[in-house]
Amino acid sequence: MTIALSSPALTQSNIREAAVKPILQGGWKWWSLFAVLTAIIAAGAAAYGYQVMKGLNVTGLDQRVSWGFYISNLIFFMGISYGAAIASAVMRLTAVPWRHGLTRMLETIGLSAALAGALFPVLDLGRPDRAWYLIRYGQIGSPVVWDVIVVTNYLVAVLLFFYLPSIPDMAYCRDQLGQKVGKLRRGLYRGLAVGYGGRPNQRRVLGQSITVMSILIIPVAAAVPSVLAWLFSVTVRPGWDSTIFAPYFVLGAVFSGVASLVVVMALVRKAYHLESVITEQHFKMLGYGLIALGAAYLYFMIAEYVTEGYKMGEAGTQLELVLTGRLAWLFWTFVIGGIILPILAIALPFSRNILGITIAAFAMVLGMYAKRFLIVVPGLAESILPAGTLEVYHPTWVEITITVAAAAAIPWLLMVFFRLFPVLSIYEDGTAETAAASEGE
Amino acid sequence: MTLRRLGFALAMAVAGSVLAITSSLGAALAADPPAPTTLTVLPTADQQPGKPVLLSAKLTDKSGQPLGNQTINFFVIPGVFGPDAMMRVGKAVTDGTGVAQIPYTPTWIGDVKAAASFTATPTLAGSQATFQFKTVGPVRGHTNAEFGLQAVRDWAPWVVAVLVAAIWATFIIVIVRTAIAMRSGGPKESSTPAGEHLAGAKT
Repeated sequence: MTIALSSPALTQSNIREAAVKPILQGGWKWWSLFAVLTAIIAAGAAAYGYQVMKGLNVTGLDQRVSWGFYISNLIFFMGISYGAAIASAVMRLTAVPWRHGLTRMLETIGLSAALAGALFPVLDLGRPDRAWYLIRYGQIGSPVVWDVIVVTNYLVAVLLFFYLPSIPDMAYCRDQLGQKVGKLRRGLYRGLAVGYGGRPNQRRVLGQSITVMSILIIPVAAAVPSVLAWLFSVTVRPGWDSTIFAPYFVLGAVFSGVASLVVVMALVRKAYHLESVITEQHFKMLGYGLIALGAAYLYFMIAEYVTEGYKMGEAGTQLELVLTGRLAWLFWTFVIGGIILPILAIALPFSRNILGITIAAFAMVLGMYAKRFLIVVPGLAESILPAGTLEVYHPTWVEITITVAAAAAIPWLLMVFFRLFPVLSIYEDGTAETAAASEGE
Repeated sequence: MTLRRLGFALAMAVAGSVLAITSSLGAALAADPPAPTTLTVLPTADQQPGKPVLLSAKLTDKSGQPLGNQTINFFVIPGVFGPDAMMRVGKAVTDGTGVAQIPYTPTWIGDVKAAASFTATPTLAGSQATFQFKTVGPVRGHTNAEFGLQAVRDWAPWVVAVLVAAIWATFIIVIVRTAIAMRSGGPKESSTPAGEHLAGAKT
């Protein structure tokens, strides 16, 4: 049985038309949103400039809690990125028949979130020039150096993973859009198509390259959250003494990546009228995936806290801060509002529709941000000295502005990418047509 | 009456103090200035493995006569706390030939900048001299305990390096191979029919 994920009446030509629609469709709504997002990003840039001038003392960070919003943002945004990349790679390698409407979006989310997230370690350094010291004086025994290595590998991998499947689409735009786009974009398509003409040799080599990158990006992407997790668990902090952090982080990344895809998919579907290409069935399939990922994440979290809590000897630890203390409201909001209720919303038939699944996915994305904060800050807040007290961390307007700007940068980048690249992968639409045809059988 | 006596006593005390200060100042001005001294550093041999070095200096007066029974301080200049910050490593009293020396065990490897200093006395002016010698490093009195899995620690960085190199090699092969295939020649832009070059494309 083939699951029908596109309208039976949908032809290859319709899909291509839908795929390039965002490239041709601008309008005041697009420009208005673009201007608002640009203004938010500019405010974030100004806040960062202020931080560079005044130093890190304008943030809420201090000697104890030196990783606040910035490192939470790094884990969150990079998590969305490699979660999306891994999901796309798995879909490609397992030849999921309904992947065709999603792979481009996943790869674009992966690239956009990586570009936004990779900046945060530099922001957390205070002086950006010190990033060079990591390369010049870095020691291989330091997990921070491992992080630099894996993030660099990943940035190159995600760029290639995004670009390679785009080559035939660039050739399509080069050949078919003609005067419908400006001179600049015509030049861009000519350059990025790198002479692709659909010759058998070109198709064969490109297919092989995409397959190689689909295989390679899974370990390369999984290495990033794993190393980030080790960065935590090898540090002498009671709340981070965990052996399951690496798979816990990878799972959290895929969970937030797929949840982000659902949100982006709903917005793109609505904005560009792609209802015939991205159907309710896509949302349901991803919704089932989110139930499984959410439940697995809950299981990992319980395993983590039970182990830590059972051995907990004295009062005033980070676990108390999270479960019953000052941050308990955030933790229980995450558990109930970010995991349990969204899972129920997707599981129950009356709310298992596009709106219900999208709202559930959005709640999961917000919940996962809260969870990253709950991993980073309470772990640092706990004193490692005897009779030490729990530190209180309050992010300042500088950190909040930069965080909001980074969150705005992802839709901003998606808007820019979808103005330049087809929102659906035209390269693979032949199979989409086959799926549609199978429905009629 | 009592007040008069008190006033007289006070006046006498002030006058006495002024007289005492003036006379001591006069005596000081009239006395000879401290005699100049010269501190000469004796050559310090470079450190031999496992042995301390001998820091030596000779104190003489302006006519070159040795000055015995004077204290000489020896310093090293680590350079960590600034170019002039000195760390005292010992002191010795000059013998009849004006020579003072101390054994010193270096605590780091490389060039060591050192100084010998004679602090001024009422009769002798201070003097100082700097010098340099090479060290081969401290000799450890103990052996560090090995961390667990030392063998793994030794080869793990190389395994990571090989893995990273393999990843980058794959990136380069993918890029180069794709670029060569794309350059292998395709139809001109205008001659490509709509979607023709996409047909049959699958990952």
